[in-house]
Amino acid sequence: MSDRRRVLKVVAGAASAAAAGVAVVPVVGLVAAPAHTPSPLAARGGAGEGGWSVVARIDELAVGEFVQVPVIGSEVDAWTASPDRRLGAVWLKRRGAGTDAVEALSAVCPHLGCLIDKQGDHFNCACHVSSFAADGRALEGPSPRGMDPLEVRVHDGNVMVRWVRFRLGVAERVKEG
Amino acid sequence: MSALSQLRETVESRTGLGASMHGAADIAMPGGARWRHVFGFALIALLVVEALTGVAMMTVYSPGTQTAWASTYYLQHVLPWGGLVRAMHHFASHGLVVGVVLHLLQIVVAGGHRAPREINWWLGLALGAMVLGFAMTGFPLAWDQRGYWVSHVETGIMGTLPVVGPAVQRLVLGGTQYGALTLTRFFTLHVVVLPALVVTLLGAHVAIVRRHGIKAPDGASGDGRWWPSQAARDALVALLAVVAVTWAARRYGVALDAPADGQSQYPARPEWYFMPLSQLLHHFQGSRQIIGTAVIPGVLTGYLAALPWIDGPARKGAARVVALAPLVIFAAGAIFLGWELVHHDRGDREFAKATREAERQARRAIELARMGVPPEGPLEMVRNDPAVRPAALFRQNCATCHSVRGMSEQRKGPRLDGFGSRAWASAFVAWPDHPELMATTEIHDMPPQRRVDDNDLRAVAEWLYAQGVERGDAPADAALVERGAPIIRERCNACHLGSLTPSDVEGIVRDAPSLDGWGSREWIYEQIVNPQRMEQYGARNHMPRFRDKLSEREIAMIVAYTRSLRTRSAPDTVRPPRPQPPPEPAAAPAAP
Repeated sequence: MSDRRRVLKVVAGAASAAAAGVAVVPVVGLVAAPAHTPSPLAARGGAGEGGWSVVARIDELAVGEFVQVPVIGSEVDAWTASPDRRLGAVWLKRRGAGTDAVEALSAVCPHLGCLIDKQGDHFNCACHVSSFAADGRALEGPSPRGMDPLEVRVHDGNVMVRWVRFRLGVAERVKEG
Repeated sequence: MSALSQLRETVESRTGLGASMHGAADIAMPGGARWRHVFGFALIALLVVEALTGVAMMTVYSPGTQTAWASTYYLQHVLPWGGLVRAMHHFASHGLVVGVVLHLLQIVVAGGHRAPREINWWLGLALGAMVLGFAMTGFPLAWDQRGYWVSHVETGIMGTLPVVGPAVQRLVLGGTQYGALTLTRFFTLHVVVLPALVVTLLGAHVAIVRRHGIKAPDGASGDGRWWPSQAARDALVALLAVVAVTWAARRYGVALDAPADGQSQYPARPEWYFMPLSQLLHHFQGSRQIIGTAVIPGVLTGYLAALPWIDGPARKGAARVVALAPLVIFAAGAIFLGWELVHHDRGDREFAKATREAERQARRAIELARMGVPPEGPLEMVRNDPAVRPAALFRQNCATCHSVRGMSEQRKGPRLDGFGSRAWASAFVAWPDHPELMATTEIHDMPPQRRVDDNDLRAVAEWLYAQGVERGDAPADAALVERGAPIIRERCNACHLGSLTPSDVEGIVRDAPSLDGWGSREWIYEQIVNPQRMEQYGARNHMPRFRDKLSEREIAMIVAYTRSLRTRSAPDTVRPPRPQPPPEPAAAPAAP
């Protein structure tokens, strides 16, 4: 009798555990899935081919002074693909009149991602009062590194930047995604 | 004493949970453990599966008319495990319906509905109704065609119920329209209200079972407890149920239909357990509809609720058969009605066609979603399908005047099959007032070019064709084009000017379009946005301006579609009938 009871207890426990396991495995699998499954649209997102995006005409840029321009591209979020969205902003400076040399700094603060503004001759992030020199070097405040430079090229008078996001809050410049 | 049992004892002394659980499991089983008592536990196991899979889906699903379908698509077709979890949720709901019926039948046969268990019988009926409530509120959540239309019909029936119908319907829909608020209300019912009710009622149901013990079948003897002998049977059947659900989910999956479209036709069929009700609507129409929607379901509900008295404790043998006969009749009727609907649909060609079309649309929608769903939602995505949207726009806006093979036989403007091709050009030059060209318009100034011989006509047609050649088109014959150019200059340019400057147009009224770039994208675009422009057909043209009627994107699609007509066969190259010489005067009758 006692043996029979013992067997019945084991059967009851094992069968319940097995039933729970059958249900829980797919459930945990699904809940964890987005953590390791990037949206298949990711390749379609971003500013353009290879991340290059036209942001301005060269003759619209001020010489020797940074101006902010938006980066427009396709925004991708899980299942949604939204064309022509503002992806971010970039500070542009033409080095000299008649030259195609352009400097580009991401307007995303390397500290925690707020938008960097300009005050007089230096840059400033309002969120946690980081300030940066006119060439993007970190001056004061919590930002662990200077402003992030972006690749830039000029083609047919169009200024193109390669839009990249970098990991926030760390001293090294590491590409995100 | 081992460390483990010491720990156990410490926890037990602080919490008493072990004793509580033993108490909870200590249910009287008169007559001992039996397989027939397993259904209740299996139902609880399936409810747990529903809860687990439901919560997992909620981490992806986004209720809203623009996001519900897209997030379900993402869940099912992109995320690993998503398709399996959704199908498990689906098949467990079938399992619940089957389980409720089996549980109910077992209870009735054993007499578990009789005093003193009436209240638990009613609780059980309410729980069974909630299973159907879950099915009704869950079905439209994916916001696909099937869920939308089935649910639309269900709430429509709700509105026809006597007295309370319209008020209940407005409450459920969140107004008078089946739309965004309906979805969020169904979602709330499905994931919060119904689960809370089920947990509460189920707690009471189980507590009452513990109070009275399991109802043993009449004549059973012996004594027993639920733990562990019945528990082992229950757990095995619960495992079987979960495995069956998972197997069916893997084997068959569950389809995601095309996105819900309130302007479409859809062959809506409910799940099998609602089919008898659906078929009742077919048998009771018009003023008798209420029989199918309220009377018969009401009688069944009333009968089940009153069963503790109809089949009271005193009834035995033949008397029980009489009391339970309606149950058999209802069951047989339901099976017959369900069979009738399925049988009818099997033989219905139109239904089969509509089903195939629905499946095609579902496949196409899923293909399109792989390229991303626009923020405006999946319906916009489907409506702007680059494979069908241009043709649909052309049909709506252009084919009402311009005939196109396979689309319309209208004759208010020139036929556009082959527009831009050599054949179309030469047909036009030879006979502009051909019945399929300008005959039905207001513009008849161009004379048929009778004196152009066939070789010159070929050269002119080649020159015209060359005007519209773009990347991807067959190139024009340069030598022929060169031969055509002087003929055009000499014979056409007097009326068909090239690009006009404002000083050119002053004082002249022309309705002969520019031939520069004729048949190109740009030329077609200008013709659509402003047909009355000097460079097009001028003020006498009756074609409407489409600049403000259609978006730039829509116009671009129509232009692309019109360009695609180039390769179709044009109206036959025919010369106008030569004027017949006046009939010879009849020979004067010879004088007698």
